[in-house]
Amino acid sequence: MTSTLNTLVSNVLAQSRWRGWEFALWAILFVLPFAIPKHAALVNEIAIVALFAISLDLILGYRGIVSLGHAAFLGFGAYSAALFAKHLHPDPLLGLAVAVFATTLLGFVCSFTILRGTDLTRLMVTLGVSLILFEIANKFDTLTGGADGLQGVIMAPVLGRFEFDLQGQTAAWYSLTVLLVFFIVLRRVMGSPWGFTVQTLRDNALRASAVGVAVSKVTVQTYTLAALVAGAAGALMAQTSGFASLDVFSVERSADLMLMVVIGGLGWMYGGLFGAVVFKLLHDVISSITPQYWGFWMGLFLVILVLVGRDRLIASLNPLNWFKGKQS
Amino acid sequence: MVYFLIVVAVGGTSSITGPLLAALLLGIADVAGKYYVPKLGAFMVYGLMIVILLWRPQGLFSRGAGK
Repeated sequence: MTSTLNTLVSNVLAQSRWRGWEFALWAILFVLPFAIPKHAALVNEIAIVALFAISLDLILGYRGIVSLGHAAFLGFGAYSAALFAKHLHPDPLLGLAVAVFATTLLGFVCSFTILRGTDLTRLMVTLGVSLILFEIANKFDTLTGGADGLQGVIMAPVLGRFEFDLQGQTAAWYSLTVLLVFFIVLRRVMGSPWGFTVQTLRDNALRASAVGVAVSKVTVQTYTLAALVAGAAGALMAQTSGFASLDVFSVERSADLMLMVVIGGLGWMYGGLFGAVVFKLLHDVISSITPQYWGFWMGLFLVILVLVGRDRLIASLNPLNWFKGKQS
Repeated sequence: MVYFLIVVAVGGTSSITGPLLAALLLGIADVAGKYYVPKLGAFMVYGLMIVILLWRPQGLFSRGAGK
């Protein structure tokens, strides 16, 4: 009996253990801005979007709550970081902390709106929140700059030493570092008993509540955590571009984000990361070939991905599988 | 673009008359809001939607609603 329990525990723990390829992956990511300085800005963008996608994966993949308004937190983080840098203090890390704190509060308040109702209700309420924030940013143009965006944000060097350069190398390393820190912490959190509780709620909330899990409490915690991470992504976006525009609140951003999480796969930490990398690279490559019709190829790719299935698509790309019989 | 989704969510998905009534309600509220308080703009519809959905998550006119 004890040995069964031990294997069970070690099986559960094995999921949260770091593997060799993960160290290699992060090493490659950090070398990229140095190896290809021309594309450092793209690396920066991917790192930010990956952090944002991981944040959506927390509530969509782990908790099973659909949200079409996750851009609300990205935008709120971006505007608070930009306003803080412009009016109070230009230090990036301080601004990041302030933006994260502000977004966490917003996420906590908003989390009570998604406790009841069906998927459609949640979809519409989250969408409504992001649309309202969009309107607020649009109307209060004395503070936010309205449709022109918030301009003239000048950041101090990171840690007082690393100046933000035009090429975006510093920005890329800054975003990658923040991404790595959040990734390690979130991985640890989702591998903890609390993380497994969250996944239990996704699988069967009724049964979980019968076992004694406080469904509402854990949902509020998860949603607040996701908002926190999204706020950090927004702050990075505003700080590295020195600019915050209404575009951060747009519905397209939330929709793109959902595509990324679907591409990468729901419910595992690398889903958001891989999804963001694939989406951004495809976007970059396709729009350099056909600037007008990139949406068509993107849509085609998604339809194929969903129809064929991610696992089979990846397996069919592996040359070793081409000459095998149909045993699986 | 998102107005039809709002109407369906507010009206409830289990009937045809629900969304019809919700469309009338939201349409009148939207125009009245824009007429009397032009500064509010689109806040009216979004705010109303969130309030109604918090009050009755299944939609206004769906059967067995309220939980």
